[in-house]
Amino acid sequence: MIMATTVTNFNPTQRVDIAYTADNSGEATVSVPALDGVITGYYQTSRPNDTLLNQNFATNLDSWTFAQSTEEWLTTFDGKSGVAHLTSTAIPQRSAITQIVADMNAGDYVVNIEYQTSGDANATVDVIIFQDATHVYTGTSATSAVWATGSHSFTLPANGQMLVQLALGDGSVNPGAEWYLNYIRLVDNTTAERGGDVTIIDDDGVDALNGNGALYQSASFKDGLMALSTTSTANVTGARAMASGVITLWVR
Amino acid sequence: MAGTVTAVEQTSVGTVKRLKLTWVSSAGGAADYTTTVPFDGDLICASFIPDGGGTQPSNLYDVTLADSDGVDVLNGLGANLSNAATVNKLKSDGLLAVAGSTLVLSVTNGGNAKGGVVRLLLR
Repeated sequence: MIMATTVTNFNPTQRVDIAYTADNSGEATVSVPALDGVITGYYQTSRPNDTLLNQNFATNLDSWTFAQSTEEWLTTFDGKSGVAHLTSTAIPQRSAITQIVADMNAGDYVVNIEYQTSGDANATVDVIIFQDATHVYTGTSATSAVWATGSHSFTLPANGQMLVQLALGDGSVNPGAEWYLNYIRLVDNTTAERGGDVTIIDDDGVDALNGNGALYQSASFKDGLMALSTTSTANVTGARAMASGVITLWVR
Repeated sequence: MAGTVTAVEQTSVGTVKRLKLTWVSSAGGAADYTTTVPFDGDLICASFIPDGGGTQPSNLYDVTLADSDGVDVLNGLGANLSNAATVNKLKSDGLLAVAGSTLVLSVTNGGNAKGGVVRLLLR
């Protein structure tokens, strides 16, 4: 994913900052230029409260899929306004956006949504959390006939998945009621810093961190850090989905 | 000589010198090689990387690296190496130094036609 390596030369030590943004699987790969010397220190920082999902329907409609629950629902995208748009045509049923945020690490998250309804006082927005296909949490936002925002805080368990469900009413909705979803943002609300497991693999296939790059861990040469004389690749695994972090090496 | 060894002898790039020896053992499980240029400095780290699959060496294979005086600059740390994972040894583990000497690699007990890499960084 996004990557950058900055080398700052001090005398005689070089500081190497390797910035990464993990993908949805919590992994990142960053190329590191050739370095020359002993690694005397290693540290990793990551930034909490990253936005993991920023789904603005005005610009990214195609990446979401609507699953019509029954034939009585007409699911369309409103191309003009660029929002997800549902219109009830008969007996109201619940319909769901089937986009799932999957394979995310356990942790605390906040979902922010903006939506609008028309002609249905009972319209709701449900944020539903599953673990191994078993329902563990539902948060429902109040209805609004104007653009409004809703927010849910929840803990995503291991093997958790998030489903955002569009719900137009409880049976009393009038045919023709409309529901719009403008955006969904999923935010990592974990206050503690969390990074990933890091290896720095040189051109000979050796991990220059010598196994010291585990989550959170800092290390010095006394822990067995090695040396570099070639280009290398920084590999991050086990981070939060789309989390950002910085790996810092001191090389002398 | 026994077996075959392919060498990368990097002595002039930066301050860290690199010696990478890729070996394939003979039927008797041995491989030898003498560097073509002399090395100088402390051994910072030594990595022993066994092949996998069909050329995975025998477990507890042995590596020595002797200078012109016959001293094993690995200081015995290349004995009884694992064939399952890379083994790293550091100066703090007891690696020695080289003073303007070529180095003689000797792999033994590797098994018939097996392979691996010995990688050294010196300064």
